[in-house]
Amino acid sequence: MKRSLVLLLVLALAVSLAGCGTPAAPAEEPDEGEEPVSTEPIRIGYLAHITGDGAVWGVAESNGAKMAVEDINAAGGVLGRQLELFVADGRGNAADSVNATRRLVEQDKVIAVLGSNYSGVNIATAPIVAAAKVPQIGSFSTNPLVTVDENGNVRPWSFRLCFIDPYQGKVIADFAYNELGLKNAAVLYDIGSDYSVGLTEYFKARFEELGGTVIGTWAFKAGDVDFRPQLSEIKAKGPELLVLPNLYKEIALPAKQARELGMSDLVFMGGDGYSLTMLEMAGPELEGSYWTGHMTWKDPEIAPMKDRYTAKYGVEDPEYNLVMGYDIVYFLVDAIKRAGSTDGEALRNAIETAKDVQLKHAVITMDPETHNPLNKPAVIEKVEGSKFVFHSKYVPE
Amino acid sequence: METVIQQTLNGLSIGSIYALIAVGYSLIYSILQFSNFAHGSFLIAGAYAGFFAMAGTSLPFLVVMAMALVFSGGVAIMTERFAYRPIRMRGSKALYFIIASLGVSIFAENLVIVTIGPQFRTYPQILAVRALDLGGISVGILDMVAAGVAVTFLLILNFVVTRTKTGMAIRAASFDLPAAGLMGVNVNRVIAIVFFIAGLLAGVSGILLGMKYTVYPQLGYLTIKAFVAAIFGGLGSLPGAILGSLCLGVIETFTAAFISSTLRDLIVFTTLIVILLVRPSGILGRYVEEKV
Repeated sequence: MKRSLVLLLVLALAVSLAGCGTPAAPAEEPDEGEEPVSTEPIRIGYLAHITGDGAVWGVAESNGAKMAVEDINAAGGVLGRQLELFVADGRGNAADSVNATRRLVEQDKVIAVLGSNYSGVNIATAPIVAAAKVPQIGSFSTNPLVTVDENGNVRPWSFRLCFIDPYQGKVIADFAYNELGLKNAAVLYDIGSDYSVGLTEYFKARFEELGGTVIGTWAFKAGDVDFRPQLSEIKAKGPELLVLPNLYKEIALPAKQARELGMSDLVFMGGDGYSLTMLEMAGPELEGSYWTGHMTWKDPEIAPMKDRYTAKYGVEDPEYNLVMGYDIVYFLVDAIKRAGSTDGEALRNAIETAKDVQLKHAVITMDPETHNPLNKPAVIEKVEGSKFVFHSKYVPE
Repeated sequence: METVIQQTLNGLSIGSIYALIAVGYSLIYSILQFSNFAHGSFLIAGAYAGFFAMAGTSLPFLVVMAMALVFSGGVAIMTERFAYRPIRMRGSKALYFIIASLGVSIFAENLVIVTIGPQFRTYPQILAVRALDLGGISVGILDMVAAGVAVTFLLILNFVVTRTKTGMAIRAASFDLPAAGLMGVNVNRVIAIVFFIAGLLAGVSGILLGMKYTVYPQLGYLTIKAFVAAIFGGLGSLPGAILGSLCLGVIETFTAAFISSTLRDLIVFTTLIVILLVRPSGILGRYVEEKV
């Protein structure tokens, strides 16, 4: 019994030593070599959800980033160095993402972590990138807590390129109340998701502030596929608007079941959790629904990327995430150029002071107070004829 | 009143699908005395086979169904043959079966992710998403069909188990597997048949779930609910599994509707623990003394 324990300890020690030994080697090289200019590739990490529920977006994002890296390398790289992309799979949950981020910063020695598109994930990885002094730039992580902690202090190492949930909740509330003239709303949200809970709160506060009535909020848990108990209750109260601040599966299924239960006039609205996939899951049921998003393929700046992506990856209707994956790399490259180095501190300062950076989908100026981009307009899309149709660009008052 | 009836119908329609899963699960439990966590894998086998057969061919619906069911039954037989039989032949404890079944379920989920992909697949619509309106209460057509299919298969199963020679062998094996072997029952064959039936029923529920919701690699997680239902009703008892499933569906729906949808799982699992404490053998289960 004892001997096997000792053996186990020795083994564990050997494994942990071996683990430390290998990745440490390349990190020491620049110091010892004392070369002013390194010719090593610049290592960039991308945290994307390649498997799990969020794979639809994660795959598009990481492929978009790959396309950007190819373009940049073909044009001669950055600071005379090539870029090397390390994609880590966060599997759509915080636990796996924390491990993946650790691997990126500790083992792959990346200079920055890009992604992910989930708030819950980026809130969980914030302490890791802060400890490692590696900046992280979220793609679609819209919860305020991603870049600002509970006490209201900005997290120095966490950034994002998207607008945030309060802003989005405000857009949904303003648009529904002012543009569509809807006064009674219900919300069906995912109790286990920071994103969904946050959006619900901000929508409710703003909608009531405007003078609307929120007749109730109903919760479900991720993984649920049957929403009829909640929907039957909602039906009994007869709202005009059902807000679904969820991800596409939890939009399509409740929408379908609501129609099945006979709620034919109910208008659905939601945030950027929508996806083209949900039109496959529920087509006619989503007719006339409105979704707030970050960009649209009708934008001539990003339209060519769609064709390029389709040609390269054979995906007919790619997600917008590929544009974000692409742009986020260029945003980082802009910061590296201005910093003139890949040093963590210098890079962080350069990201924080980014001003009028022209990207494909928007012009980004970083707000140093919140680490959010300033005044990004939201895109409203409507489902018409089983297609997403661009409705308008909307900035709430 | 209308909402109560509506919610009861909602609950029963969820419960009838749980029942198909729970029955197969209970059947395997009654013979091999272990929780087959790979049951969800049989379900996704049926769901995906049905999806591809239906989306890729123009064969009539019933033929496609039959093909998918034979496939999911086949997957169940293969699982037994390669994952469980070697353990059984070595005479290992039930614990090893449980571990093997967990392994199989993780293997199956990841196999699907790698080969078919993680995205959601939608069955072609055969039945329009419509509901009959009965004075303010709406009943989904698909729900009625699903419940009808579930009842039909459960009646066939009942017939097979109580009226045929194979059924007698299954009952004998569930009573005492080694003794049944000694009495001349071909134990390996009976177990293979039980797995085929369980896989087939899981396949039926997979197709129904796929049609009602969508198909995705984690669809098999729903079997957790069926496990709970089987324990509610009494492990190893087929009528118990059905009763437990219907009860579970209704309890879930009522909790979500009238108490709080956030507390649903909390209350369901608390009820489970209470049942285990008060009546460990479930509603219809038999309590058998350990034979020494």
